Amino acid sequence: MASGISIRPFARSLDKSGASVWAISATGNLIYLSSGCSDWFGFDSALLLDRRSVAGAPVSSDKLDLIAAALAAPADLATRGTASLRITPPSLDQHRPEAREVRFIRIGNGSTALTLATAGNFDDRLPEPELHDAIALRQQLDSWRRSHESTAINLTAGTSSEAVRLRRRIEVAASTRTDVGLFGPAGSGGESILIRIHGLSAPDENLINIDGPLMDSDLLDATLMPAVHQLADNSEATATALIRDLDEMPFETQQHLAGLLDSYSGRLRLLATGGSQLLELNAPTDDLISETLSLDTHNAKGLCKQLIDVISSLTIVIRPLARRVEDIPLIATAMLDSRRAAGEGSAERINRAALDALVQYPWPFNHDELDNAIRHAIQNASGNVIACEHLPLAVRSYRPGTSLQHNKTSKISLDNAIQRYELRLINETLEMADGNRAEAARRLGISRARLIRRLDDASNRESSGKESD
Amino acid sequence: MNWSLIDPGVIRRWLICESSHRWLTAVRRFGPEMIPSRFVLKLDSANQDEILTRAARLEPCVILWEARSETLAATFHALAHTAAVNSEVLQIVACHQLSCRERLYLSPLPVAAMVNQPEELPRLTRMIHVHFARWTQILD
Repeated sequence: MASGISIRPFARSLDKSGASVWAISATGNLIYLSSGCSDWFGFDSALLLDRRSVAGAPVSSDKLDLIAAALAAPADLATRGTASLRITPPSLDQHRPEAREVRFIRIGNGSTALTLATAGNFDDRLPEPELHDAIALRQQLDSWRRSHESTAINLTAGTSSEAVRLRRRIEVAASTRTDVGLFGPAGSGGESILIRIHGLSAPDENLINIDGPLMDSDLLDATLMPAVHQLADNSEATATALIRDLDEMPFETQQHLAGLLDSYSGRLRLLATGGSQLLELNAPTDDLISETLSLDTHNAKGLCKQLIDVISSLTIVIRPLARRVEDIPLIATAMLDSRRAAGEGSAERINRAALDALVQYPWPFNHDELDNAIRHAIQNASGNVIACEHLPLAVRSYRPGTSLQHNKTSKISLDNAIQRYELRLINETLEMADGNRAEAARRLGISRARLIRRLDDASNRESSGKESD
Repeated sequence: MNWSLIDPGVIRRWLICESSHRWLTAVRRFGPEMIPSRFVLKLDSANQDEILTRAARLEPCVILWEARSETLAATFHALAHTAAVNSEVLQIVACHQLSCRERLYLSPLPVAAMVNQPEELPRLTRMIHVHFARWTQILD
């Protein structure tokens, strides 16, 4: 390839390369167009020379002027120095030029300035895959917030059927003032959901927080006394009791509570969480959980019959986080957003390696544990990205497989395994002894008769196995 | 694990062909839940050449290929070859690093599923169950 300090070798190289390159003078006229431009436009690009190519300037109806104007650099190029634009030149005849990415660069200053432009396929404007994923996640989260503005609680984020069911139930509960039973494993954040439901369905109503396991009948009376007085004095008054771990409340206290609810039927509302059992009293018929519930066994579930009747009006079940794996990135990002909005840390997103670690961890303490992990990561992250090393040790050092694999193998028959191992040893020894059974028996430290018996047993097992197939 | 102690009839195998260990870890986490509880998951990492050499002799299994732009042609060849010589293999492609256009190129190939991120693996549970159920007699 020719080289030199004059422009000719350079122009020849440009033409040879087939690249679409053009130059615009300081006055805004096209002063150079490479031969690649002719191929792109479908006509001789020399026809465009000296025509005006200034963004926003008035243009005649001449098609060539329109094409020249389409090649103009963005108006702010002078201040920015470089610019990117996708250009589709108007067609002059039958040929329809394709849209191409164009990069502009401004050289020099004032009256000697020059704008160079080249069209092609560039991918420098595309974000790196990691960032692309983060943007997609953010868009998904924004869409979820827009669609579920009132009930957008972090743990309801997601696209899984579990998340959809949970959101629908919460929306129903929030749209009417009714008794609600919410059941989920430890750390599933049921209380925050009930508080949100209360805020939406009866915002002006008194909410009395009660810790179920600590209550006896007298203490329950004392706790509810102000509300009970109010209900007794005013027939229009209403109140809500939020009871944590209803299924762990003493049975007599449950019956007492049921009596109070019955006395002020409709006016004293029960919002209750339960954790020890997953039960859904009015679950869809295809839900396996519903099959486990029988009203005859209500005592075993830790609830008295009267309270089951009360919360039967609406129950919500929160599944373990490990069963909503596909929602974890979205929930974690929502939690990060909430904490960032509260002024905690500077992290804006979670990188993919950290998300992978979050997805793989089994979360035995569910949403609360995930929230703690995010809080920990925010505190440890110095930049705007949470990486794997910022996560708690338990999460980032978790290696899946071993416990589950062990569970699976523990179901395998020990006798069969021993028989297979024994047979493999016998076969290997026989092979080493060139098929001599007496020698193999000697090497194995057993009698020849025992070795033959073992081989016969194996042969019988194999043939009986084939027959049963 | 000493696999010789386990009844071969209950072993269900996955082969992972990737440049790192991301998908191996993911299958190790979600794989056991993706097969019926009476079976045991055997998970192996293998390179492309190894799989191609053994493709015809592979027992019914699942192969997860990690597809990357720079080795796309080789992955296409591996997918087509494996399917041609052994119909008992279910092929899944991890295509997180591919562009939309490159994913479209995968459409005519015998790919049972494409996954972007590890959290999408549990969605394939039913498909994996059906695949292994179809070949259970052979495996047993």
